[in-house]
Amino acid sequence: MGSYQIMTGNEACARAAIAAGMSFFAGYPITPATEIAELCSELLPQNNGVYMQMEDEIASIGAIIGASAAGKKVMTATSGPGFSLMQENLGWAHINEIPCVIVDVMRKGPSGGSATLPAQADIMQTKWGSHGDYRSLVVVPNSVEEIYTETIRAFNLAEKYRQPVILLYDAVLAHMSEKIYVRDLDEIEIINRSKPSCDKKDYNPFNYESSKVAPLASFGEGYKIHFSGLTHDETGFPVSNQNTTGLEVLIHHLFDKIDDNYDKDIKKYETFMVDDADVLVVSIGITSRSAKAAVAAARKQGIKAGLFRPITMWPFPHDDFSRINLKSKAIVTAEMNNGQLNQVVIEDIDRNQKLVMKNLYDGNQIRDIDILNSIIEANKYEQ
Amino acid sequence: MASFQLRFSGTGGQGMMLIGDLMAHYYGLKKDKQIVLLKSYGPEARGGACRSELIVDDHQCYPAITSPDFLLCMSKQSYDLYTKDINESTIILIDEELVSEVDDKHNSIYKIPLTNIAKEKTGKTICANIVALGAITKILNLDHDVMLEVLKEKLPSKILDINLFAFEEGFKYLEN
Repeated sequence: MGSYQIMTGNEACARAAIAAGMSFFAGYPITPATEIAELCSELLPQNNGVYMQMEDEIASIGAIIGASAAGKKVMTATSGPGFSLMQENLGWAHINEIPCVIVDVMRKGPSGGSATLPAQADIMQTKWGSHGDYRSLVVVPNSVEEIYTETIRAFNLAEKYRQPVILLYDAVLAHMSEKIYVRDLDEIEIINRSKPSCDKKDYNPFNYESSKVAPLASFGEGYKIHFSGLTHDETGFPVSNQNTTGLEVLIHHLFDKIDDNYDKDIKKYETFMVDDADVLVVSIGITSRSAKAAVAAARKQGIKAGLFRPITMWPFPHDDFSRINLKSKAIVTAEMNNGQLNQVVIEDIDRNQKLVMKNLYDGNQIRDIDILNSIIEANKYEQ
Repeated sequence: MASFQLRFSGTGGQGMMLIGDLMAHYYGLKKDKQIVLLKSYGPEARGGACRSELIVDDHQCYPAITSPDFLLCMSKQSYDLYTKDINESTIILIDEELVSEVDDKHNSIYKIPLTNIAKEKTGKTICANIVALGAITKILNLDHDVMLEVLKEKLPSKILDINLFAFEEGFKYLEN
């Protein structure tokens, strides 16, 4: 039997990571993510794990990559300024297919911005932050309970698909407390990376023949492993610039392993009253809760409104969203930034559909009443 | 039901965060409600205006106060800052010695010398927040015995007795 507990979003993240089997955390404190590191420094030593205080965020992600390559399940947590510093190593983790979880608790930017104020302006950075082609995996919870369950899912996805997974939420969710149901450990599905069973001399750390993820041996287990940030072949050693096929298959693999499995356990979203929705609101994270209240209020006024909420932000569920919004005459995007989600949504609507943007970036949450006004405005549109 | 919104405000060091935690425990874990608890304080540990806010609902809570149903003010500064979004039926509880001037338009206001009761009855002004909790339990007609359970579960044993005493003093003040 599990139990009901009251905790903050950051506490839920740290406790869920421990439940998921995290055994190594390296980090550098930053508002509004600091409590995750604080709690990990307390919980990990009690759970046979290691907490490592680093000198900065570049070192933090470097340390978790190294620990993951040595067989640990790993996480780091930061906010925008630290997440920016992590981008080069994030790309390194992608090209070397290193399982790791990175938490970005969004605060108002750009740069140092406003440390204690919430925002949702890192949506695009989590997709495009590092250079080159790779498939980002990003989950965006909207409650303390969902931070708990999505942290566990982030670990499972990272281990299963051998790559970084980003957990993205904002300063309000980080610090607010809610009642959540915490399952017993034996009720939680935990996925661990597949390990090689072949003869040690036959082992290659990568597999580019298919979208199947190669088993990952750990340093110290006797397998020959080579990692490189350069484009490499299945042995991990760099590919010659003349070998165009070799240069291409690695990129194919990074995309195919996610795309081929997207509908199985990666895609995730919530819909609310979308079936007959004339006006469809799209929103993520804390703002989606104001959006849901606004949709309910609009329905009471006789306006057919609905909500589409991605829980897996990247890859965005384009096919499903295109199908769901077919009957809607207008789409409302509500987000705490100057326009990011709207740029994703616009790819999936046609010219007859009106797009209404509700953006706020003054450090306040978007109120339900403001989204309701956008719904009313959108509902006036005649197709 | 519609959500029930409570705000506990005062000065850093008066225990406004703790009173939020205790009330969240009461509604969330003892009364099977959904809760959102928000805390806001300045960089100073003591001295600045601070508040904790609790939203109680049968379903997932809207994560912000729209207009408080209940407001506790334990300093003049917090009264001035946090009464801006009240409505005509907001129930207000003030420490009458710390909030000297109040608007005469409030329909439902309780003025209690919370800090003075704490000082005279327990010898410690720091117990004023638990005196307030006792008064709140009476004002909002909450379950007295369940609130005692909450105190016993949440407070360290070495400060429990004095706080149970403070709680009863606050609870019975309004009976007199």
